[in-house]
Amino acid sequence: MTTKSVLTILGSLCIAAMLTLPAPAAERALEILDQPGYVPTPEEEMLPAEFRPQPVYFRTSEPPGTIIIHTEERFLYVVQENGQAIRYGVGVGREGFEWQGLLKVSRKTEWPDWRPPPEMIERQPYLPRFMAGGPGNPLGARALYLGDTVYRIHGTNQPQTIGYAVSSGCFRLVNRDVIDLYERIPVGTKVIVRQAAQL
Amino acid sequence: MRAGTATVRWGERPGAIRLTKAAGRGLALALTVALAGCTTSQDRGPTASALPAAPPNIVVASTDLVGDWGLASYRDVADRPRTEAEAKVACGNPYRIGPGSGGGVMMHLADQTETTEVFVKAAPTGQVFIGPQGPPGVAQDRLVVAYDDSSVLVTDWLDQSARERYGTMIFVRCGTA
Repeated sequence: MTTKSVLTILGSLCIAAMLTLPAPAAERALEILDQPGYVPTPEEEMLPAEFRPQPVYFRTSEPPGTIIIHTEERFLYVVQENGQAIRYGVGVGREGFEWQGLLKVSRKTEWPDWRPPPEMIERQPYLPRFMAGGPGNPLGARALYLGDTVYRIHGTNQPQTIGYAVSSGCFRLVNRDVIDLYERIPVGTKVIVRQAAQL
Repeated sequence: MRAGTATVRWGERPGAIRLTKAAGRGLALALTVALAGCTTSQDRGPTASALPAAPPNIVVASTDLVGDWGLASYRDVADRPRTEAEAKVACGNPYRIGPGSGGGVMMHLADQTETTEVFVKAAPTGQVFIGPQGPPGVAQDRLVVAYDDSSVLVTDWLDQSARERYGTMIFVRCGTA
């Protein structure tokens, strides 16, 4: 086998590998409508390994307990001691609904109520304008409200949206993970939302 | 920057959600699940389940339903009082029930974006239903759970899937005190 043919084969393998890699997080948008009332199965709530909560090394000057959300990565970090963090997979705002900033958790609720946005009611006029919290509610099991904005970190009844840009700016976790986060995070916690620089 | 304040850059809302290139297993899987979730109930068709309990002899006529209603839903009966309060607020975006050409009224069946003419139907048991022309208590019907003071209507979908997804629906007539 000649050197040229070996290089050709290696090049082909590299291209094939690149074609099978998942799309970068920044490109992962998803067209999906809310499904009020849908209750996912435990199997559906099993996330891909990279999006399950796990300890990671994380360098930051922020103190332990701070939440840092890297929207492009689709990860939420809770800073821990010794250069570590707990990392959660999240769904983030879709194109046009991205934002960044510094806020604090202003309040928390269990099983938050949901009010579908007007444009959703226009598409689905049979929807209730208010749905009391509970399983199947699109906001899921918990909500952590960010400052006095409309944004929240909340659960979801659509676990398949974790890792994608789907929302109107809120950050969503599967219910099991948002319950875990809710227990760790007190009101007043600093939340830093970061977007990657657009070049 | 003061603590508790935000530096927020607002994006412009696009006219529609953009679907990026369909690279990645996750997109295909998500679409499959989403479409399954959107179509499952329609493919299966409504299934009648055991009738929920409801008081008999509720007096309501189809013409009573015409008008604007604040619409909300709950699952736990303990949430009903505050859900009813929220339904009043929802009169800002009311659910409109118009008259039908056959003596009924125009309402949406579960998961349907177009209205259907429905009628108030009384069963021999005394229970009252709202649904398409035909016998009372069929799968597409709503059971009238309560009709209080002609201003608060509470219904449950007979179809178990719809009932589980949407909960108990409460309509509060708009324009009443």
